[in-house]
Amino acid sequence: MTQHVKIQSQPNYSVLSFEGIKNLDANSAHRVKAEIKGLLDEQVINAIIDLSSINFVDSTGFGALISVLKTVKSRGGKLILSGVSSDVRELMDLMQLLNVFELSDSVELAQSQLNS
Amino acid sequence: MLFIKSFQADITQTDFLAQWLEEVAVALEVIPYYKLRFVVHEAFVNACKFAGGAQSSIIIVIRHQEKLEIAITDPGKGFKIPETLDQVDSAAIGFRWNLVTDRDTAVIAEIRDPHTLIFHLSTETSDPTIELRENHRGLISILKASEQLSYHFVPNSSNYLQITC
Repeated sequence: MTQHVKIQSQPNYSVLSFEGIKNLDANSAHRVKAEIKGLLDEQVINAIIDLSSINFVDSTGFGALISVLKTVKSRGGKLILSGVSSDVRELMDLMQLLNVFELSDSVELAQSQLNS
Repeated sequence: MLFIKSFQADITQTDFLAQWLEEVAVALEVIPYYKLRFVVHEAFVNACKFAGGAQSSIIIVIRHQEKLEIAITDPGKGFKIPETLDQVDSAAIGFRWNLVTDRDTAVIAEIRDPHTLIFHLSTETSDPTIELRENHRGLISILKASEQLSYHFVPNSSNYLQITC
C-alpha cells in the first residue's frame, strides 16, 4: 500500500509531510493517522506536521490530528502544525480548534520554535 | 437560486461533491466555499454511513432566499428515532434530550412536531469524562458551522437533514 506520510527526523524533532493526498477527510484520515502513529516511534518527542499540501480537513481529519496531538503530549512533547492554508485555518476557527493546536506559517519557523 | 444534484451514496464521491460545491459557491456569492464544502461534506458523509450501500443516492438541494438552506436526503435511518413518530402525542412536542455528549459540548435534540427534530449545541450538559466518538463529530461540526439544524421524517419518501447557514 502507498505511504502518504513522509518523515524527516532531526535530533530534537521529526517533520511529517503528505504526498499524494490533498484532503485529510473521512476517506483518508484513518489511514493517515495509522501511518503517523507508526512513524512516530517512542523516541520522537516533538513533531511538526506540514499541512501545506492539504486543502481540506473534515471532522474525521481534525479528529486524527487531535489523536496525534494527544500521543505527542502524553510523551511530554510538542506538536506544531505548519503551513496551514487560510481555508483550513478558517475551518479550525469555526471548530474552535485554534487554541487547541500550535500553528506556524512554515516548517522553518516551526523548527525555530522547537529549537528555541 | 436553487441547486439540486444527486450523488451515489459513497464517501469516495466527496471529490465530485467538492467540485460541484465550488461552482455553487461561486454562483451564490453568499457563503465561502470552504464553509459550504465543510457543512455539506459532513452531512453527506453522515448520510453515506446510513445509506445501506453505494447503490443508493443522496440528493442535495441548496437554496438561497433570505438565508442559505441546504437539504441532504438520507436514504437510510440517519437517526434512531422511534418508528412511531406519527403517533407522537401533543405532550411530546418540545421534549428535549441529550443526543450526543462529549467533553466540551452536548447536542440536544428536540421534537418540534411529529416529523421534525431540531438540534442545539449546549455547553452546560457536557461531560468531561466522555470521549468524542467519530459519529458524533460530524453532527457537532455541522452545528458549530451553521445557524440551525433539523431532521425531517417524510412518510413514504426520503428523510432529510436541513441546514440553515
